[in-house]
Amino acid sequence: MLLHMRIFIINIDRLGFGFSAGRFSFQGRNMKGKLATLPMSYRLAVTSRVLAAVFGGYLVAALASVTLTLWLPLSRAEAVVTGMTISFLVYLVAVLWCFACRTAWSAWVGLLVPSVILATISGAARGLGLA
Amino acid sequence: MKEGFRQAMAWLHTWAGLLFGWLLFAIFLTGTLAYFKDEISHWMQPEIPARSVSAETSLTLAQNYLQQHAAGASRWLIDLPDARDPGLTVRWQQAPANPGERGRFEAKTLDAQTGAEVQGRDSMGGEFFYRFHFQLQMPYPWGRWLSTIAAMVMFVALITGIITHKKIFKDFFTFRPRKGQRSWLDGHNAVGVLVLPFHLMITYSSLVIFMSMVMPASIVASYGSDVRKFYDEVFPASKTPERADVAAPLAAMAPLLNKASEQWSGGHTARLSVSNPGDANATVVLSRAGDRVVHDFGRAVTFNGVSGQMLGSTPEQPLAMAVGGAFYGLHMGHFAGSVLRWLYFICGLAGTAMIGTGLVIWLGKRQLKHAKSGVMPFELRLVEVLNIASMAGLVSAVAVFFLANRLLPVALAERADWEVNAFFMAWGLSVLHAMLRPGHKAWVEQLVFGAALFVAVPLINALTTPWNLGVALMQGDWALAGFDLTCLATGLFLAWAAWKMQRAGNTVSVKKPRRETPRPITLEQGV
Repeated sequence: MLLHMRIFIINIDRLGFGFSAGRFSFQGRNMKGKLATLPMSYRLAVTSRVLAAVFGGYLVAALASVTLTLWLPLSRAEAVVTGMTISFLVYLVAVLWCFACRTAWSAWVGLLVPSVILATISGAARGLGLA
Repeated sequence: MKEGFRQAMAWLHTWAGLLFGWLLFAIFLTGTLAYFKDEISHWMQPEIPARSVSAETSLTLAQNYLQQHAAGASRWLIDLPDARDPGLTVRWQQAPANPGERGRFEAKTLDAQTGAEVQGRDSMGGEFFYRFHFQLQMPYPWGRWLSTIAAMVMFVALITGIITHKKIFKDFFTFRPRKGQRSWLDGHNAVGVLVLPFHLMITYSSLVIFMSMVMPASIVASYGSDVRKFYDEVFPASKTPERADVAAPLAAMAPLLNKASEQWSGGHTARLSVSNPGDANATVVLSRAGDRVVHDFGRAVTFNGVSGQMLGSTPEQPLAMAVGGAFYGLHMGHFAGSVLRWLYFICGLAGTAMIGTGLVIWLGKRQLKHAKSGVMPFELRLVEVLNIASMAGLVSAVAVFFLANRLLPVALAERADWEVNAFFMAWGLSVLHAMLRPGHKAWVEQLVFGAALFVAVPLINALTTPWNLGVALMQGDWALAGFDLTCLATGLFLAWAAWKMQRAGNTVSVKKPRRETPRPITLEQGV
């Protein structure tokens, strides 16, 4: 009985459905899935990733929509609508990145670097008088 | 390496899905009901009769009525009846007492055949579900923000779900019934994959619908503080001329319907807006019904109200707006005929079921670990209560909303509000019930309760109104008949679900050891 249960739990984990930390830095989960064993640093790392995904992701998406708006060779209103429509795809990719990357720090770096690049490109558009 | 990525995505799928699952279940269920908004409203205001008359006849009646009752108004609005919404609605705005103020609006519903006023019982009808779907009964703009955030989470959950299932199409053909947790997972995958295009379309389009609210950075970057100009450019509206203060009779408006239809290569008019009726500068704006997939907000033809001459029509929208309009049109499904509308409804139910099964799986898997001790940790109990109340409780509350429409006295003050109150009271009580009863019993009891309520809807309808199922079928009023039949079918489905739940509970809690012994015969047994 117990053996059966264990096999079942393992199977579920192999499907990737349990609270498995995956490639997160801390694998704080024993066989029976006691959450209490998760170390504080793991929790902080997850919180950091969530914050990066929600706010950092929004920042990248918003900057991407601005960059597209300023650079697309369309009428003003059309460029704005196109930029806004596509921004949600950028947001999605940013969120996925935050949870797929190796550490919480790289999540932030992976969002802030594109943000700086996008901000520079939109700034260049303004400088060139495209806006 | 690859396995780690998939596990991380599965983690995200699990937790995003759990945290927003309850809210998304309610959003999906009410949105699905909103596809039959007009039919629900028709059932909830059965006093307004369905007539099969031409648009010209209705329009002439409306014009006569307004000329008698609202000759001095500054604006008339006429909503023509269609196959789904039988009411001919006329509204008029009084000229404001002081310049700069907004004049008072008055509204009346007319019988599309006789032109007489009809007084439907005070009810929000299907509009309630439609509004709740994106406003969540919260003050503006919080509900819209929360529902759009939920849509973004749904989008993430969908994509991570696809990534998690590497063998997505193989999984689709795998269904292992009566295997407890496995069956739930198979069902979750099946409804997810089967209507995946619908899920992606409905989720992405919901983001596009509110994009200028939630993602305004590019508007600000391009237009600065002049945001109003952006809306003027996206939704071009024809300017209405000032009042001439010279009296001139309004021409008959019925012939304008044909002229507009020619402009739209066969499209129909849904609404007419008359500015300055009775003045020499009267204008009539005809707005097109949402009968195309690509929704066009500004699609209208303007006529001079006195001569009937066409003054202009809005130009075709540019590609970017057409894409946005297509998302909007696809989401709302205004263009859908009855077959497609049912398909939308079924896809919506599949989405609701996908969210519901996901929530059940999350809990079921974690409950297994505590099955022996029989003591459930607080967080699992919390999820269980929320699961029961957000699913079985919500379904019962919908039935209570319908029943309140028939049982509350017609003359009750603020009757429409009391229907909504009944809905939320029933939902609140379901939370209380789920907290007081053990999880499995609470499920069964609430499902039985919901089943009884839904079966009661057509019965109470027959007892309290003359528009029972038989009459509706004889008159060929398929909206009314379909409503009663759907309630009946929902009741039967909930009863079946309760019965399954009852049996499943028995096998899990009492006969658990028996599941260990291999019994290959069970697969071949029916039911």
